[in-house]
Amino acid sequence: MESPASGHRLLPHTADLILEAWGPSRHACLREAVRGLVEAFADVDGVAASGTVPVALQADSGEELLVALLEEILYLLDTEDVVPLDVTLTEAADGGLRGAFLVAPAGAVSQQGAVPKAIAHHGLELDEEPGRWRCRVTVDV
Amino acid sequence: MAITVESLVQETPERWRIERRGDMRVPGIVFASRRLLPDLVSDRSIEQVANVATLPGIVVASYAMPDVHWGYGFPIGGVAATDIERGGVVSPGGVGFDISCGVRLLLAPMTAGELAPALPRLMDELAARIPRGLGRGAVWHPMGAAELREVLLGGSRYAVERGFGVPDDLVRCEDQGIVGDADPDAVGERALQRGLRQVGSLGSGNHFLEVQVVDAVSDPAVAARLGLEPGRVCVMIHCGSRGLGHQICTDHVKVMGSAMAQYGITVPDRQLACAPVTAPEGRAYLGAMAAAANYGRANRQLLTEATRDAFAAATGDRRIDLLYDVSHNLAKIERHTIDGAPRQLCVHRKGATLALPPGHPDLSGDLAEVGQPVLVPGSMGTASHVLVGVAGGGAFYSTCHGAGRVLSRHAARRKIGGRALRAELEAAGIAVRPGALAGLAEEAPFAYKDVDEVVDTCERAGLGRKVARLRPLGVVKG
Repeated sequence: MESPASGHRLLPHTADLILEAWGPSRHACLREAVRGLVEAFADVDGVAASGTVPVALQADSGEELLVALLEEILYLLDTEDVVPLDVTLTEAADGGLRGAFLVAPAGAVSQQGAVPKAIAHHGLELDEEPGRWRCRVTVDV
Repeated sequence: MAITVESLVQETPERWRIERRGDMRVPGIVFASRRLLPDLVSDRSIEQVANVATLPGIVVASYAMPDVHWGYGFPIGGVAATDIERGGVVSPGGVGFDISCGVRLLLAPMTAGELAPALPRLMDELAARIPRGLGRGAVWHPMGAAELREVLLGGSRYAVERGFGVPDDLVRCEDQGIVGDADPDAVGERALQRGLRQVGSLGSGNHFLEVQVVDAVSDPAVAARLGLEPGRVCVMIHCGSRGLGHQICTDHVKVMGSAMAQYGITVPDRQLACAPVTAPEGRAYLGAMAAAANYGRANRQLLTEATRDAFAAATGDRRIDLLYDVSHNLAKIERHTIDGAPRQLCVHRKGATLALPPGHPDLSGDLAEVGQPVLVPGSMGTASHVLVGVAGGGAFYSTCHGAGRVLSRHAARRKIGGRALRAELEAAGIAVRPGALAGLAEEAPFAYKDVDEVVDTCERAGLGRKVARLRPLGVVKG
């Protein structure tokens, strides 16, 4: 059984990462996906946030929203040299997401594994199940 | 579609066939020894070979090299060619996120014995000068968007013109260091932003810079022509086009995913999104891909200069020559003879290396006599290989690109810690300079196939000829 109500885990994949996350709502599930992706390559325990970066995303589907949200992490790494420690998210009236990443400088974070390159559409899932939302995404590393 | 070992028909000891079924337009051909085969069937790479065989315009077969493993959409180690005049498509997934990821091999003017006293200092100099891993910057920062555009158009050639290298560096580069038809206007703003601060950086994962020694020579005549004397020190650099390339793939998969319906295309995996080569979406991708390929070559050129600086500081000698630079993630427009007629094909190689034979018109100088060098990096701490293309080479003159993973990163980390792995490598005489110790374990040698078995299989299958085996002396990892 997967518990508690929110969580994430990595599933075996030969070369890359498969990330699974779940939560009681769509945005809670997506938040877990953010945490799971960051934990796959960085140890953020005890790292203090140095600022926030706003999140404002819109997409044609929930799955595309998931991809867009995780891609923001990779974009911030490459362009701002910051690692998101966590994210606050709310559902927007237009079907998108609003919120903010809590970020820390990349130099303040200990690297734990290969830094992700991109979010793939292979095997992409975001579904509402009885009592929870669950997503699965393949990450190229 | 589900593929089992029973789906494979053995044609030769190193060649297996997946017969057409379902929507497959051509059969699948897997090059593997019987020893390598279980790894291919246990993951989903064979299923992905079959999925690629459904792409519009694909000709002859969907191929898998002996190092094939499970990717996303295309398998890693896959080759697929589409006939451009007959609706052939280009698929960004057939190139991969790391566009023009490739390998560069440098020759140092010394033997391992001569270098030995200076090796620890050299490794420290390299560790200080080679940006790698999480947020560690780059050797060079182009002066804004205008100069980045020059990199995208000019590749290694532009880097050399700016003083990062010597003209001889271009002679031994695939395409002389510059891919034509690059279109910076097809590169999106996010990709440009990601590319601004990474020219001259390794990245992480399986990317590395290794100081190596020529350990064994299989073809003394060709090895001598290439400068691979036994005992000579080499440097191998494995990296790609960094965030810029990753973003280009991401952006164009999205565009093609939306555009496929108007061309009547459906694919069994969303990461196989594609468009006809002649369609606006296909042309735009190829232009952006070429720009990323130039970025990748400039990236390896900048790391070459940093390597020269490290050698100068550690040994007083910066005479480092380029043996070759070749991509293993690229789509190329090539002419091949199909059913007796010359055809213009879009050949996707994702984790596969072009290996032109001696005498091929695209090779010049002494390479026309020996064939195109193929650089095959092994897993960390094991051997790497240099091959050359052979006449009659299969899969549109393609061969392997590395060892190929068999264990997930997670499983590798469970089996050994970074500190223990580093101690093992050091005990074996290999100096290690990781960007992050904790991530080192993901690249443990046991997570990969036996690279010797992979290249032996390539040779027996007629995909290339072994020239020399290289053994690591020191590893710089992201």
